Amino acid sequence: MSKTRDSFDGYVRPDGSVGVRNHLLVLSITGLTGPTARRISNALPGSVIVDYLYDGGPVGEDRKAQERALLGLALNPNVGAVLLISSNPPRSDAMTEKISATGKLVECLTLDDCGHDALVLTERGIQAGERLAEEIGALERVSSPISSLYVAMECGRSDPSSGLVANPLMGLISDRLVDAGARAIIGESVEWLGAEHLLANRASTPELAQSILDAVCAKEQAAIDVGIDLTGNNPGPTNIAAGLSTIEEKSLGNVAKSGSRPIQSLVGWAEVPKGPGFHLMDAPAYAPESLTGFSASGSQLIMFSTGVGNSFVNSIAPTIKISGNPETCARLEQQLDFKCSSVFVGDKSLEEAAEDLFDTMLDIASGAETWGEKMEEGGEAFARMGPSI
Amino acid sequence: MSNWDAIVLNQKDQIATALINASAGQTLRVKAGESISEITVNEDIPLCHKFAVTKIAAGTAINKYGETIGAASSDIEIGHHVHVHNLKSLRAINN
Repeated sequence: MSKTRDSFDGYVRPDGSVGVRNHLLVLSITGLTGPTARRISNALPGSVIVDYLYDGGPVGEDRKAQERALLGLALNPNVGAVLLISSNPPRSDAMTEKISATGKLVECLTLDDCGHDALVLTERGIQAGERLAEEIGALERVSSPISSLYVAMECGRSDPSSGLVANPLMGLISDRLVDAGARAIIGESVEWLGAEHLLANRASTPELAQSILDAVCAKEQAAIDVGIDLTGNNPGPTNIAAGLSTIEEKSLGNVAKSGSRPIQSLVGWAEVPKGPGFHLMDAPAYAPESLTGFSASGSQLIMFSTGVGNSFVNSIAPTIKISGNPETCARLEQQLDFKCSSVFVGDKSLEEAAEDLFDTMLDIASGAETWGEKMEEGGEAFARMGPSI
Repeated sequence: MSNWDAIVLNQKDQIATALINASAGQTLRVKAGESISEITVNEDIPLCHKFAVTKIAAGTAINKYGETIGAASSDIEIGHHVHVHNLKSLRAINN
């Protein structure tokens, strides 16, 4: 059935991108305004809160990455309007200008403009948010091509079933998205260790192949420099209890999510991959930071495989939870959006399950809610690349 | 249910992955490619865990998916559990 499905219903943005959701994002870009922004968001049903904990601390390259991520979340196609809350007017003015330049609705309120009174900011924020919500509430979904999708592939609390079933299944979805002219990506670069040659062999240029090998080498050196044994860290205790023994074993299962198409680029955390095709993100492996890297780089959807179960989802990109472990599928009946243990026990082929998963993905892209959305799970975690000063 | 209880993913692999919770002494039907053979496991092998399908000498690289996942840190007999106690990563090693 999905073979004939070549579209989904999404929200077309002024810059031509297409959202699978129509969020009002309450974005607090300074630590001081976080609690106020939460109060504002709580008063605006359906709004999404992102509460950034820092401001002046991050410097240099770290600062650039933080600003890239905050702007990227605001520009995610799933966001219809942004209510920017800040205690740093120069920073929020600059960001407002950048958001506005894309045609996206944005209002900015600062603590400074409210006499440094958090309750005045709360009241003005609710009023501004209500206006924005009403404006984006009038938008309707329209049929949009699959080529406008950018889907990230994540795994968490993996076990060996992930490498056998759920990840290869996501690999088939990656290939199908690429063939339709869409973008797909994997991150978690420490989990390429032991499988980097497979990725490098698919690089579109020799330079990119070398960059992939260098990125893995840097992650390996970082682990050596801090004197940790990856076994016990990654794979972590849950992975080990579930049967994964080494980083190499985990990585070989992990990269199955990437499918088989050529790799077009290697981007940094929260950096936007340019052009259609399959991409890599050199970024932290821990799911909250990894998922924020994806949503801040513009992913509208995240596919997330798990071995024993992982409830965490991203707040901006609907996160589709998938498992092929028969015990997990039975235990987490509600929490999993897609169960594929029939492949694990040999009742169904990967190709048949991929048809079903592609359908599920397009249903969710068109508005069907994931478990994480129904439960209002979700959050954003900002990867830090350096010390605060 | 399936016609096999464990699977060898690549012909280069010396280990199989259990698709059931197997008990010590249990004989498992092990699928490798198109053929199915029987191996009796000497230890409990939990779902998704690995066991040896050939004798593996200490120091030998162990394959899964046809790729190296580490090396045996002790001799491993057929039917024995292969996990962190006898399989060590070869990467990010601190000297």
